[in-house]
Amino acid sequence: MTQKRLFLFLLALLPLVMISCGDDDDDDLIGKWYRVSDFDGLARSDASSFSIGNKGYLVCGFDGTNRLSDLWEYDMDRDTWTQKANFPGTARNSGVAMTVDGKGYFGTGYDGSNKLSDFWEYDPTANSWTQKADFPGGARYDAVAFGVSGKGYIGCGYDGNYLKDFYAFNPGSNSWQQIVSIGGTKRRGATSFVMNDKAYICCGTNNGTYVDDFWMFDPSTETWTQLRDIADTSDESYDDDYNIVRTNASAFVIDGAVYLTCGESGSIRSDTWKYYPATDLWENVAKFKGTARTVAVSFSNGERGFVATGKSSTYRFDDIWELHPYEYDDDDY
Amino acid sequence: MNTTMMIIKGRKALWGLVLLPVLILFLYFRHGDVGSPDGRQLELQTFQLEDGWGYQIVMNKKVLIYQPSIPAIDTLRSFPDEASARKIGSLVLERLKNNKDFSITIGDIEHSLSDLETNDNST
Repeated sequence: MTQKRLFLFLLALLPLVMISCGDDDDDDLIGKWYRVSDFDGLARSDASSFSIGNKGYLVCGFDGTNRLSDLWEYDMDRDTWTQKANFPGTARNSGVAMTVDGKGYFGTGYDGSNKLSDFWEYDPTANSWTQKADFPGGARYDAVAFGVSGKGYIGCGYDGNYLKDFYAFNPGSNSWQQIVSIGGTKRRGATSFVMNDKAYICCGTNNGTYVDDFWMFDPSTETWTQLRDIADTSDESYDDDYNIVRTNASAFVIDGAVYLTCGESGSIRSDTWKYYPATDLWENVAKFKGTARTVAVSFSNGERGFVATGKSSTYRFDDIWELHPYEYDDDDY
Repeated sequence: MNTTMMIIKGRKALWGLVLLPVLILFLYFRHGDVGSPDGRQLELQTFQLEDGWGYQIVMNKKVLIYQPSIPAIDTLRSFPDEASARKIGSLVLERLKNNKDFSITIGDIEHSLSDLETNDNST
């Protein structure tokens, strides 16, 4: 009788034992994602974002029915949102934004029927928008942009064809100049990040192929340098586990390393990769803890990084998550 | 006579026992509905600044929206008075409660703060 009870007791424990054994794969990946300020009601995808100091700015996007033109400021210290001056141009999604010398720049995109080439400056100290010289590369969306060393750069994207041309905007003269195109493949839905006065471009698609070539732009010489591929293309072992290629990913910088997460490549992604510029190597870290998503936005002040909004199939998100890169998460998810 | 009274009393007590949990459940869920379907506690608060007023939306005791300046329009100005801050803040609160897009539009500002717009033109 007691043996029977003991057997039943052990049988009842079995699922617990199996669960605790089953999810060990993820446990050793460093990083812990925290959900911060809920933003119920502002669900959207394909928004654009830029960061100025400890503030992240979220502009425009698509809620599934309407293109949006509002601008929200996220305060990383207070963990609160403030609505700022509406974007005065056409409501749109899939535009690009960047920060240059404390001002935000936003342009290109898609309004539902037209591709766009207008370009705007947001001054946070005056809370006002000013239209600047049109992007000269022609109307497009899903482009990629970055601000570095006093200039803003926009390139790649889609205008009916996949593109790889690149242009530099000089805020002082309100003028554009074409620069050397990014090497390698044309692409849309690429991801950019800036570290130590260098800009980096990776990911995206070209005619249905997920591109694996990875480039660094040096603004002092206005030249592109190809880095190691972000797929297992070499004979060496460092890239054997690389599973990084995707489109519409989000990236942010924390303490001199980049974190790339979310996006899509056939399926919606949540795995997260850390890039070390000094060694040009990637490491798999704790996967994004919210629902896997694509076309999200990211904020970063160089010390903290956030991912907000985005979508998975037709469902759009309004939550925002912060990665604490040096902690471990005990949760299985 | 006595026994029938007791039976009736007993039945009433039984009914009470059945209805009480139902009533409690009803009140509980009804209360939940007032806040929001997912139990969010939303509150609008106004606050005074040096040069005017602002509002904040507090959700589950944590500030979600902190609005020291008038939203949507190109300005750094705060609301001229408590009433105008409350008016716009109430719009946001209503939309949040109804799970609607709670971004304030320029139309909302023009509609709700017509006095302010007139002042704006004169300055």
